[in-house]
Amino acid sequence: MVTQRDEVRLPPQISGRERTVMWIKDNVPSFIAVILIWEILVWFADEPALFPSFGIFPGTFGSSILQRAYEVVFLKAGETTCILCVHAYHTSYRIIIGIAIASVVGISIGIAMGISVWFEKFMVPIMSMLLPIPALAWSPVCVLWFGLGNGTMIFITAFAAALPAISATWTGVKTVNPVWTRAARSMNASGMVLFRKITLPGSLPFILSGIRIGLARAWRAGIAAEMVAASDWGLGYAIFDSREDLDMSFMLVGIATIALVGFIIEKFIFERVERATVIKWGMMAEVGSG
Amino acid sequence: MSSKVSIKNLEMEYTLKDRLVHALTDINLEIEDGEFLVVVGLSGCGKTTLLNILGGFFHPTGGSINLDGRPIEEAGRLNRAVVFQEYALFPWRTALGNVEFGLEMKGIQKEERLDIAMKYLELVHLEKFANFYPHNLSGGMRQRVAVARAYAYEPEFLLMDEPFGALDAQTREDLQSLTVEVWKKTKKTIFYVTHNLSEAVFLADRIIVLAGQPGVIHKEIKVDIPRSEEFKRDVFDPRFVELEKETTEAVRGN
Repeated sequence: MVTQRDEVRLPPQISGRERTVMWIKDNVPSFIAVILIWEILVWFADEPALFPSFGIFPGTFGSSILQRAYEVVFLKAGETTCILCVHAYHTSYRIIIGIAIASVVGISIGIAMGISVWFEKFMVPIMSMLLPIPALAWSPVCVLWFGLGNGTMIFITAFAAALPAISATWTGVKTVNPVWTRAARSMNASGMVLFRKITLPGSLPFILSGIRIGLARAWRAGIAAEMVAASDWGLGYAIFDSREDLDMSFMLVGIATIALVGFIIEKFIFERVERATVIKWGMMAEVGSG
Repeated sequence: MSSKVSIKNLEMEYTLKDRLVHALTDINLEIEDGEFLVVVGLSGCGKTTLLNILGGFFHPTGGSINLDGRPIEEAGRLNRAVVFQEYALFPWRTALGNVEFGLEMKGIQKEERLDIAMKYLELVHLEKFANFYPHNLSGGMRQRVAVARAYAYEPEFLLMDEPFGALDAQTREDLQSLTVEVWKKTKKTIFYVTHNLSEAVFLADRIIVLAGQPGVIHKEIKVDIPRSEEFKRDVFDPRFVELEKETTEAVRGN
C-alpha cells in the first residue's frame, strides 16, 4: 500500500481571458510610451508630411496616422471595404503557403538527414552553400521563372523557412533522448514503429522551434519580396507603392499592420500548436512562465 | 523448482575508448522461478552490465544464458522487462498511454489493451491518474507508472536497475513495499540491482554480491526473514541487522 499522498503538479490553468488581460498589462504601457515619444518627435520636427501626428491628441486627428488607418479599414475604395484587410489577406496566405511547403519539405529532409548518414553527408555541403543566401536574393531569378506574383512570393518564403526547419529537424532526430529509445527497444520496438512512436514525438520540440524561426524569417522575407515582385496586392507591395503618393501615414499604418498580423499568426496559430503538444507534455517551457 | 534463468560461465568484455574492459568473468547463477534476486556491489563491479546482458542490450563474450531452458537470444524482447533508474516514461503519452506501449508492441487490440493497462495501473494504485501526463506526476508516481508499464505485457521476468535511487527516502520506502506487493501478486521473477544494502535486505529472497575487476560472484546470502502482511520487513529486527552487516562486509570485501 502506498501511504504517501499522491501529488499531481498541474500547471496553473489560465483562461484565455486572463491571458489576454495579462498580455495587455505587460505590453500596452510600452506601446503607449512609444506613441508618446513619437508625438514628441512630431512636435519637434514640425514637418507633417514626414512626421504625421499619431492622432490621439484632440485636434490632431485630421491627416494623422489614425485617420489614415480609419480610411483604409472602414471606408470603401471602389468596390472594396477595408483595403488594408485585403492586402493583409494576400500577404498572409502567400506566406502561410510558403511556410507549409517549407515545413513539409524541411521536415522530410531533416528526418532523412537524421536517419541516413549517407544522405546527411550529401546534404551538409548543400546546406552550407545555401545558408548564406538571403531569401530575397532569389527574387530576380524567381521573377524570370514565375513572373511577378504568387509564385515568386511563395518560393522566397519557402526558401526562408526551409533551412531552419531542416536544421532543427535534423538535430532533433539525431538527439532524441536515448533513454526513450532504449526503453522502446526493450519492448521490441524497431524500424518504422520506433520512428513513428518515439523518434518523431521525441524530436517535436526541436522541430517546432525550427519552424518558429522559419516562420519569422519567412514573414520578413515575404514582405520584402512583395516590395520587389508583387503586382497589385500585399502589405509590402502597398507600402512600396504608396511612396508615389508620398503617403507617409499609410506607410506607417502598413508597417504597424505587418507587425500586428505577424504577431497574430505566431500567437494564435503557432502557439496554439505548441500548447497542445510540447508544452502540455512538459517538453518545452511556456513563453513567459517561470 | 526448475531454474527460470540459468547463467553459465558468463564472460563479458568490451572496448571503451580503445581500452579493453573485462567487466565480468566466470559468472554462474541459477535464478529460480518467482525468486526476488538482488545483486549488489561497489560501483564498477559489473552489476549493471550483468543486468544489461540479461536485458538483451549486450551480447556476452563468453558463456551462455538460458531462459526456461532455451537460449535467451531466442527469447523475444517482450519476454523480459526493464525498469530504469532514469525517467524513461514517454512524455507525450499519458500514464495509461505509457503502460499500453508494450501491449501495442504485442499487437493487442485497443479495447483489450485499455483493460489490461488499467488493471496494471490499479496494481500500482494509480488508476485515478491514468489520463495525466508524466510531466504532471511526482517522481515516485512516475516510477510506479514505469513499473506498471514493465509488468503490463507480462514478461517472463523483470529487470530493475536501481529504480528508486533518485527518489527521496520516504517515497523510496513506499515504493519498495509496493514492489514486494506487486511481486507477490504477480509471482514474476525479479532481478534487481542496487547499491543500497538496506534496500537489498528489505527486498531480497537472495542477495548476490559481485566484486572485483573483472567482477565475480563473491558471495551469496539467503534472506530468510518473512515479510509482513504489508509486504514489509522490520529494518530493526536483529536478523535484518545481522544480514545487512554480513552483506556490507561482503561488499566491502574483507
